[in-house]
Amino acid sequence: MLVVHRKIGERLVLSGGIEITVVALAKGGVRLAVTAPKDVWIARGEVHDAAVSANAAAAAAAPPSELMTTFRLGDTPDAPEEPQ
Amino acid sequence: MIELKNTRFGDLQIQDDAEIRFPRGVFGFPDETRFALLEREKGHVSFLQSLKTPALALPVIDGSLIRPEYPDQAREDVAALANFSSAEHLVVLVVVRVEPDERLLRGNLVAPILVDAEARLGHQVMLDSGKYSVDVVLGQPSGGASAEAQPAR
Repeated sequence: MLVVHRKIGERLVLSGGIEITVVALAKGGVRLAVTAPKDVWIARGEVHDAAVSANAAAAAAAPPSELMTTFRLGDTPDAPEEPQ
Repeated sequence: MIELKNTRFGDLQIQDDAEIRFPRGVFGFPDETRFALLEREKGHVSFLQSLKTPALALPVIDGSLIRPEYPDQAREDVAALANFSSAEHLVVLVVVRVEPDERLLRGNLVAPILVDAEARLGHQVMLDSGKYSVDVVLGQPSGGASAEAQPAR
């Protein structure tokens, strides 16, 4: 693990064309800008962890397959665009 | 022919050419690199059946069923996330689950599974723009009969 000190506007450069720039400091947080090639996805750690958990839940807790055939989409007013 | 014993659907025989390779696995299952998409005659939910672990099957739906424009990015950009050479054969799958108690279909729109149906390659990616949630209600039961799972695509 690399631990470095950076000031606002300073960057880290990673292999693969990835750059991380410190944009701003705020109370209890730091704002980062990340640039990367198109085949690199970027996610907040906790969101990625939630996706891992969602896969495990989908695989483990799925009900009998018979039930899974009986769903029709869009039956609820709860829109898929629900914000985080 | 690939034979699987004791899957969720019983014993299965899957055509070799139904295999989809996931070089990096899927989130939480990095060692699961071989799947087949089992589509059903009825209902929107398909299953990504592991060809390594018979007990593992991820329920998924085609993202275009949620909204035709999902995931709201140029298809070429989405395909590029998975390093596919083009978006011509791109299929966007959303992992779903059902809580038996509430009988609602819930989906993870943040982390779709991208499949190149021609190259038979799959990658699960993150779309963490703040626009989507890992847990969105997509639908509710509507009745209907069960059908046998069939390998497809």
